Amino acid sequence: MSGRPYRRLSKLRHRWERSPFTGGLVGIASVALATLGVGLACSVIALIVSLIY
Amino acid sequence: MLFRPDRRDFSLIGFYTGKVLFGVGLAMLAPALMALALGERNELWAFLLGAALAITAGRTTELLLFTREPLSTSHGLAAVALSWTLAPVFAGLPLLLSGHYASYLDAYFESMSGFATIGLTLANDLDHMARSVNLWRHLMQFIGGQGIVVVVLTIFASAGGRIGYLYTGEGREEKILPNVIRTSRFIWRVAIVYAVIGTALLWLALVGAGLPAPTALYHGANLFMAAFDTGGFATQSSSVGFYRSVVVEIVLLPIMTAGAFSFALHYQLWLGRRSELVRNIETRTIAASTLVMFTIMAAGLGRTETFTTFYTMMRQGFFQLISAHTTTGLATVPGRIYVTDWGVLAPAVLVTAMALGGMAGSTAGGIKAMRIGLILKGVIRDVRKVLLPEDAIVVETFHSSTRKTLSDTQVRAAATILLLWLVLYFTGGLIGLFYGYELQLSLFESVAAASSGGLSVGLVRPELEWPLKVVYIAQMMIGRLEFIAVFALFGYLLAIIRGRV
Repeated sequence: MSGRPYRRLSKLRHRWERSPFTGGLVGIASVALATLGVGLACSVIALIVSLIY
Repeated sequence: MLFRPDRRDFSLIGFYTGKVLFGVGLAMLAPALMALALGERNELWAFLLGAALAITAGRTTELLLFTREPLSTSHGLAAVALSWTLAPVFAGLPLLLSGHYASYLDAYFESMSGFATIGLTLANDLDHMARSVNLWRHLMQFIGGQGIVVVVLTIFASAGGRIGYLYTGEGREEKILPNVIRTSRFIWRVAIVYAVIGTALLWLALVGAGLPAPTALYHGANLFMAAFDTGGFATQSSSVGFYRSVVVEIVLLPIMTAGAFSFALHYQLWLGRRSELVRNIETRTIAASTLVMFTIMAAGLGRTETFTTFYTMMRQGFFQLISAHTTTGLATVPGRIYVTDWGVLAPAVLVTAMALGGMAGSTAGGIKAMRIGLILKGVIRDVRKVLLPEDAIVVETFHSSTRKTLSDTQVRAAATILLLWLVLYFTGGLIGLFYGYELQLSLFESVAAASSGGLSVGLVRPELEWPLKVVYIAQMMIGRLEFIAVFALFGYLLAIIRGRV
């Protein structure tokens, strides 16, 4: 009896891991992070340039 | 020596072209359904007519030229180029009948711009276009971005090996999975999953910007197709500037970036291998070029004092740069402003960004980060060779899914294609000059057409001289198919005229 909730949770986790949406979410989140990183670097550049001019 | 093509050649090229036309005809039924639902009767008949003609032409060609023979490289490449030439013939018909295009040439231009994910438009009064027609414009980008042939491979193909050349002909080199069909299905899975996530995010952002929920869904879906497929069409003439929402622009940035990332990289990311982002030669090249180009752009905009605040410079400059570098073509300011208010450096950066483009094997166009990265690695290797003792063996490596050793052949191939790209860009620019346009304008528009960049300084408009429209159509197709397939089709046409029996 005590193993049932765990099994259900593990089943859900397995289904989540196999879902194409998981891959998609991980993928788009990684791309968003990369864009954010480049964006932050560019904003530092923009800040320096705006201080110069 | 050229040999005149025989029935076998025509069968092989025509049979697969017929399949593609059939697929394009079926795709036209989607906007027809929308026209039916919204009561756009004239558009409904236009789509049904276009679909009927494409399906009839496609099926007839398939039946008349039926063959079971395996495809060769040249047949596959010629079939791809012919499919890309003929698909806009049928896809442009509903556009012409919508009344928003001055001529059939304009409608053909728009269809080619859609399929090749360029984003340049010749539509009159875009803001009052029927929703079904606007959906078709964006749907063409979605289909073309993944690859018209990939669509057909995914739906109709039964044997992967013999149709691999079709996949290669559409400007894709890398097979992500061992089988071409599985690769094209993965490409579609990525596109559909991202479409659901991206459209939902854009819908939320657009509702937040004040659009009613159903309108926001329509705009969100179209914006997603334009951004992820690096297409650049918009439902409004003022493009993304219409929404006046920084949230919409922020959501669009990673979607455009995702479109410029190769499907091979997406595969790695889907598997959770995030380190690939840092190690991959193409992501490194794109990150470095973005930083360098943004520095130059910021300096240019700073000198001309175009923007009074840091915030506006960052918002407008970064969005435009990412849109250009990913060859999307969505804009937050009217294109003419690039040459009237942005000085000289900033538009030059936009042209360079469009010319460089995204990653190989993505929906983006341009020279591609892989080639730039390989050429730079080749230069580094040559410099190291000069600096080290003569008998030293210099080995340069790069990372793309796995660690690979740089070979002379790779550098030479990348340099050759780079040269072809430059010729393509400058040819369009020179023809623009011939018609009396300034160098800055004609080069900008030529690069936008060839690289699929799609940002425009206003040269592309309905009143544009028809020979220039033809030149841009040719540039769009050659750029999208990356030369070889077009050369193969041209070779067959030459062989029909001058080949020996």
